[in-house]
Amino acid sequence: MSDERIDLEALSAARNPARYEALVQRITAAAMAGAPKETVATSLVKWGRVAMAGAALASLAAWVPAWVREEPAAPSHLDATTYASWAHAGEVPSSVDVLDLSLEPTDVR
Amino acid sequence: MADDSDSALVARSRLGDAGAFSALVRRHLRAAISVGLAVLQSSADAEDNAQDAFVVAYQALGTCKEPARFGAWLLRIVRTRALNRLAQRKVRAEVDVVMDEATSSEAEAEQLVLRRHLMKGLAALTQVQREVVLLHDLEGWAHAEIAQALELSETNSRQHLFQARKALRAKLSEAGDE
Repeated sequence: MSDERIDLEALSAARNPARYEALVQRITAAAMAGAPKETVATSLVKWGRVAMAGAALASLAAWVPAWVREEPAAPSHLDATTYASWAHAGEVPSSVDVLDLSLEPTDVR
Repeated sequence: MADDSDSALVARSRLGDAGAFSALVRRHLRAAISVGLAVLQSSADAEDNAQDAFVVAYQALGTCKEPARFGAWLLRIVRTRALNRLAQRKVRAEVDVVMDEATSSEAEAEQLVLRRHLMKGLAALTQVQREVVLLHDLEGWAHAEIAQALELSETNSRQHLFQARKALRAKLSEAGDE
């Protein structure tokens, strides 16, 4: 009769329980080693790193333009000392001297 | 008590719970090896194939749309990978593998002879007949489960089982007469 079950137990992978369990453990270890899954903790750490990197980039983006901008000229005391020397000497500066002085870079701060 | 349904185990495995995945492996490994055996006709290759399939399944757990049907989903991976292995001709000779196994008793030696006869008998069947007879007669699956996993109708599953048993009995009878 072909409707009776055939005994195939000799082919069963579980015929040796200890070996079967060892195989289960080997496969589980291989899966875990092959693709570490994301836990809540690792997920938080990962997204925390992304957030930190984003913040660092934003700071850099804000700093760089100011950093590369040319530094203003150092404050010049030329005008003050010149005026003082003119006042001290009682000299009247020529229009050329006044014009030169007005074209000198001045301290904007 | 923890929910040990396939759905729950898949959900926990997705979070990296090794114990949950181990439970899934323990539950479905026999069937995975049986289907691999049906395709590859080598116990050692079927075990290697099952390991590969579980590793792939673990990596792809996020794509398992119906975790309650993890078994059927896994068996599709097992079959695909087994067919790829077969195409790559990496199949070992079953007879060599059987002879390599250590035999420490007369009973074990008899088991090995029986296994060789069964493997020769299975070799005379078609792949789908082997899958059906192994899942039904070895793993105890119902036709409805086999039909779902192998994407057959239940009627087809019954027909394949009938033909498989008939051919297998004939082969085993021949082997017994030798």
